[in-house]
Amino acid sequence: MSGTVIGEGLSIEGELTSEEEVIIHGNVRGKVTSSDAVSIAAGGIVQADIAGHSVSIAGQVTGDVSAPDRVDIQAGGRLVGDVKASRFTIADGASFKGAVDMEV
Amino acid sequence: MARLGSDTSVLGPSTRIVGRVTGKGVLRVEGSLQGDLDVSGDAEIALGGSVEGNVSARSLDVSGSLLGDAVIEGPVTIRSGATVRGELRGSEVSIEPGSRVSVKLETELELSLGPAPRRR
Repeated sequence: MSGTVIGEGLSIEGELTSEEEVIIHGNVRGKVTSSDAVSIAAGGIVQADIAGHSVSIAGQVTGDVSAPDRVDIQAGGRLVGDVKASRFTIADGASFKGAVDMEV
Repeated sequence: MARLGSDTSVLGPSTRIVGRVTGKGVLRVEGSLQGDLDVSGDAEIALGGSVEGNVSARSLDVSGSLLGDAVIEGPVTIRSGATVRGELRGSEVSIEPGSRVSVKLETELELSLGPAPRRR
């Protein structure tokens, strides 16, 4: 089995870099970078800039998010920060505050 | 991906953390952590995994490498192939043959240095 999972009760203060899928149920403060997908699960709290191949947010994120593929804010998800991605969706029930750069 | 309990954390083989990791639950390190690790549950440093920092956990199982001190409530197991340098404190400490270990041990009950040599 491969992949990185930050469980519900876990907190990371610092910088996380990876080349595999990263799923965050817990807390991260610092920076998150992966060349694969990054998911912030419902209940996850991230105060960090996030860079992933794609980024999916169902929890709470404060920080800038960039992804060459796509950024999705799921219902219940919340993002305060700027988004840079070629595709970007905000689901019904999600909240977002920030600027969007879709590289047009 | 296999379903894990939500209190189980895994740092995958390509994952590298520079910083502190704290909290509840169980943690398995397959990648690298530069910084302190403090969890309420069991900690495992898997083969290929490394921790450079101090470790505090309920139990500790090392197959990879640990450079730092460990304060463990329960048992500490150092498996064959592991590299450990630092001070270890646990309720019991077992060190398997084939591990590279340079440690100072503090253990309350029992010190087991792998299976006893066979006699006939």
